[in-house]
Amino acid sequence: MRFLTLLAAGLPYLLMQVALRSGGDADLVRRMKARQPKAMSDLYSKYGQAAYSIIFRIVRGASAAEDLLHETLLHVWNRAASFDGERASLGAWVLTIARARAIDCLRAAEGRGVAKGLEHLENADLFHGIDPEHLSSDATKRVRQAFAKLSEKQKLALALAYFEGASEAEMADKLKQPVATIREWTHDALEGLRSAHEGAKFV
Amino acid sequence: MHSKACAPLTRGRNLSESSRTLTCAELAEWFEFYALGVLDPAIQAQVDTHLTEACKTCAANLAKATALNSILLSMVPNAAMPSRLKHRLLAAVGHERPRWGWAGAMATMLMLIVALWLGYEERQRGKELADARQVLMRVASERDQFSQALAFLSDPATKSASFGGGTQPGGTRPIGKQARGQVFLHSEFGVLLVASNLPALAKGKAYEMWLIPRAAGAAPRSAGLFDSNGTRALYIVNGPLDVADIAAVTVTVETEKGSQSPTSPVLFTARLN
Repeated sequence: MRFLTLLAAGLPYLLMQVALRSGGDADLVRRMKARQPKAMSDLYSKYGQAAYSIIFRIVRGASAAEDLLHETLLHVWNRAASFDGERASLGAWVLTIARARAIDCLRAAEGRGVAKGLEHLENADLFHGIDPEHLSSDATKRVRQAFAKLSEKQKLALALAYFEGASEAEMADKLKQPVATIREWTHDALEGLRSAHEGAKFV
Repeated sequence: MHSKACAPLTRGRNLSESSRTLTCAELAEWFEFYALGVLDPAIQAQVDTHLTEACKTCAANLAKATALNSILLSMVPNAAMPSRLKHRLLAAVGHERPRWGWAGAMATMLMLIVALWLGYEERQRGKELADARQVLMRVASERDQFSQALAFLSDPATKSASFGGGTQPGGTRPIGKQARGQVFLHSEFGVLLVASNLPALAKGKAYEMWLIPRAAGAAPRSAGLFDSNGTRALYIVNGPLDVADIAAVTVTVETEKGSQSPTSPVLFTARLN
């Protein structure tokens, strides 16, 4: 029974890994630049599910998530000319744009106003230097294992930052903790995740 | 331009916890939040300054943080994705036509049926309107005829003569025992012919009325064509008329275009005294 539970939990991750290994991003970016419509189909197959899941996790609505994924992938399609597929991670770019669009939508729906600088963070230049295939690398597995070891408080604080776009002050307000405590939780958590990402043994 | 790790900044703004500037190594702890757009504005300003000055260490740290962020984002459990989304995207880049699905097809079919029904109804209403207009015109025409006939009958100056009842005098051919009628002549109104049981004619044929002058040898004058529905006929020739000059009124069967002179045997004759 426990095996089946673990299998069910890990299945989406395994499916995404299969999708991510299905072809090189450099070639995909080259075909997007050449405006080959089949490239959109491949972009969707490779990153559509992951991007949609992130957006859905943030906006919590299928209709809005559908529109935002459509917007995200068309944005990538239209800006592909500025992206260096040989030296930058297409996956990181797509997921970052998906999150930024969803956070904007969430903030607007909650009357919090549009977050400053999110548009700047979609700039293709910011993704240079990231291994194009890093999402399918061993680093992902290590980060996943490290994340599983975080405390619930740390996971909760990070979720507020990643999926609600909350600042430290907003996290402190929601979790009813001083900013210093929030900072301690998130710094410790990110330090461990960073170590796992860079290959150091995470304890 | 920074070729190695930046030295501590000296022009940084006051931070929320401290007013001191941060080194590249210290800033490295903040890049994940910077890349998420949730960083404290004071620290964000310092990161912006480093990046603007092309600090390679900070640029590398930002890349690492962005990569870590994307991994953490990709760990979200999969949400069920609608299949139409792919078709919508491919249609947007011209790879395939938009799919309407069953709902769209049903809606289109329903609209088509409604449009056809409305078109049929409109045609029916138009036909009924045309029929009604025709009936109205016929009723108006008949009313005018009866009104004129009444003028003939009510004026004492009107002269009349009867015809009908089997074989006609003067060698005319039989037109049926039931066919009978009267002609009325008036110097101002013209000629009125009223007949009953006058047989309907074949297509292309018409009754033609002739005025026979009293003068010996004078040729009959055509008074126009009329038809019969088989039960009754009412025919009026308007215009001034020298009634004293008319000896009789006869009717023949001619082509529907009429004739200059009678071309068939006289059907009946109404003689005036």
